[in-house]
Amino acid sequence: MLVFVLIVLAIFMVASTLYQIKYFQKYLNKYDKLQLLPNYSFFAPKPYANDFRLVYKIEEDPNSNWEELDMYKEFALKRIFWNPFKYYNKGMIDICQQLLEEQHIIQNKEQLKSSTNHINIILSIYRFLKQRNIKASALKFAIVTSEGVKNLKIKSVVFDSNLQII
Amino acid sequence: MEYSNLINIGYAISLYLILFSTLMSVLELSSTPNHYFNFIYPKINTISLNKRKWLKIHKLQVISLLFTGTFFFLNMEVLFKIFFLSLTALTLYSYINRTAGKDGADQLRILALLSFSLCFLLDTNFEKIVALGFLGAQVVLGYTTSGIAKLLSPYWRKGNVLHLIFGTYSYGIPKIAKYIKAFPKIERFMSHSAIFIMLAVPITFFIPNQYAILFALAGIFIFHFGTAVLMGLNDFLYTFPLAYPGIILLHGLMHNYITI
Repeated sequence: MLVFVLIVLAIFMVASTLYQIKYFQKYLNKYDKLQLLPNYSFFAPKPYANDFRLVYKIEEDPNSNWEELDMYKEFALKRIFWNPFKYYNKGMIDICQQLLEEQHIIQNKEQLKSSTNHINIILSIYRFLKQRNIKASALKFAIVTSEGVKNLKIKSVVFDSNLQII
Repeated sequence: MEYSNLINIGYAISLYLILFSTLMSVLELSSTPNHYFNFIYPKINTISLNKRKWLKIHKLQVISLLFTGTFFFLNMEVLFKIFFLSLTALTLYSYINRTAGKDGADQLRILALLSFSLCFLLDTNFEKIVALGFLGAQVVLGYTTSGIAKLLSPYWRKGNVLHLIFGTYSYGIPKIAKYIKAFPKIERFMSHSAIFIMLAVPITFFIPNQYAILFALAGIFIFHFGTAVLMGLNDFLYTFPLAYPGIILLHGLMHNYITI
């Protein structure tokens, strides 16, 4: 049994070492069904310097304002011990990135509507509106990249959806 | 100190850190507001919100980890292992379903749970050594990769990246970003310190002096504390130290101050 356990852990150790090299990542991803192989490069080589912001509007009217999905938290010292917001924030970044990757492959926006990421964003905005008792029969959203916090600089619109009935 | 006591203490520290880290993660996930939930568990089976289902799973995780900790403390081995395995299964289920919003701490936590579970197949002596050693090796690999990736990056070498990271609302504090942008020497010092602190762990790992590795681990722990305060990455602070007993064990075995 010792040999079996050592072989399993040694294989994983070798695979996770190779996984740190970009070249091997796409090959190893095929076998890593549980997404266990870790990427330890953390903020390197190019650190994350842009934010995604999710904006929506509930009318087709071109003069109506875009609203932002509430997702900014002020700094608080308690986040050393308690920071549930980080899961949402990282999840949002991942979903936006995945949707952008899908957009490169499927350029037809009608087909993109059936993507899990697209549906999740629509559902999140819908629940956000529902919590605030805002009635909406249709909405559209956009993902923009921004830089900075107080002196916010919108860099570009990276995704904009069609109006969708909800 | 006697060798077997050292292993037992290291194993207990590592185990309680796994439990604490899992508890914090579960409590944080459970307290996420409804409209954020789709960004954390984005798999859609039905149109209705499945938060209630996840709250049930998180509740079971909390129960499992409380019993695991208690039975380990009471030295009731069979019950400890049963609850630890159920905690691993529940956490793995949650981990697989979270196709977004996972970070390095989540990955290390699940690796710790799985490796401890796998090592239950071994007899008591090897069980602890192999599990601790595997986690130690993983985290040395982690700090090595992170340090080398930053060292090879022109952005990090130039030392003017931190104001960009702190300038994001995801990982930043506006005042700090403004301050370090105004003082480029401080920013460069902080960027280069991050590389140095990370690489200090693999470098001291090969130096046959136990104080050197302890000093490097203390340095990286302070670094994690800094990223928890400044960037909100609190789960790294209480997840990565679970592997420190393993790093010390491997260092001891390699340089012969711990012998089996």
